[in-house]
Amino acid sequence: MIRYQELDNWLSQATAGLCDEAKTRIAPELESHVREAIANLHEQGIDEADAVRAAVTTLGDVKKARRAFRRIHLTEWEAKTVQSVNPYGTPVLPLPSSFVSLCRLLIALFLVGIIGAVIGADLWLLMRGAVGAIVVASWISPLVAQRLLKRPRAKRSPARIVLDRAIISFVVSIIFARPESWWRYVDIWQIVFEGYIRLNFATAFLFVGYRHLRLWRKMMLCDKSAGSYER
Amino acid sequence: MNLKGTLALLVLQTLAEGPNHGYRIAQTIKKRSKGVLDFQEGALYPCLHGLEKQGLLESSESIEQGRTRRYYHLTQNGRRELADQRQQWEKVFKAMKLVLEGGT
Repeated sequence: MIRYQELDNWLSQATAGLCDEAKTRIAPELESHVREAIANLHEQGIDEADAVRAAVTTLGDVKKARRAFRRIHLTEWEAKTVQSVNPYGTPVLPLPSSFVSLCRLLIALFLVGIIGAVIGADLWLLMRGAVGAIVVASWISPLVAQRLLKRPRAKRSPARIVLDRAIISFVVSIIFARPESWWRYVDIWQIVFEGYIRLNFATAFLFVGYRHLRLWRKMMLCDKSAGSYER
Repeated sequence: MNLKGTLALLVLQTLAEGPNHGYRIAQTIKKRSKGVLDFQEGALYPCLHGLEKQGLLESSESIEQGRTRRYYHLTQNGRRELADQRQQWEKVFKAMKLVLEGGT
């Protein structure tokens, strides 16, 4: 089959940054569209080079098309995020998955903890609020994850997971609810924990928050029964 | 002519008459409107994919004359959405007509 450079350029620009699944959905469909247009123009007596140019021109502004596709389809990052979502939702205590990510986390916590210590603001209340929010989110997340995504279903029922987590959260809350608890007096833990909370807030609101909001908006768009975003 | 917001309705109406593929949908809209509703054909596919994700359309691939074509057809939800959108559009159209004709 003859390749048309103009068509290939248009397609690669229109699908730039999208996940592979989206690319393999979009490219053949648009290619078939353009080849059909070329064949029709050719039948009307237009030579092939002009027909290719005219057919690609009718597709319109590639930047507008790319924006429109990105509103519907997952980008590479979003596809990775969806892949990584645990069918049981967010764990109560999110832990780094590898040694490297653990080191990165510790370095980040150390730096942010130092900044927190220099600024000197008391983040105790904020920390407790954040821990509460994480715990509540972890309670709800299995239900949300199971509802929004077509994925291997969790083996245990979401209600059972929520119950398990409620028990874990209760134990965690006993430790975190009391300012006088033992770890409060261990400075390094306080610095690390404050750093952790600061890091979460900063990244969540400034960067990750925006990307996640966009991803969730796309997920909410899809019909649940159609299960458009597969794992 | 600017088709912003109306392309979905035009697509749903075209597919109400039977399954079709993207190129044919675009040509049908242009032909029926005698070229007045001319739009960038690249915009048609995000619209089709969006309607499919909302469960208003379903699609299936087939190979014809060596070309892979994806045929779209309306679902029950799509038919309901078409009826709603048509009703709204007719209401707007009547109101516009009244205003433009200067009726009281």
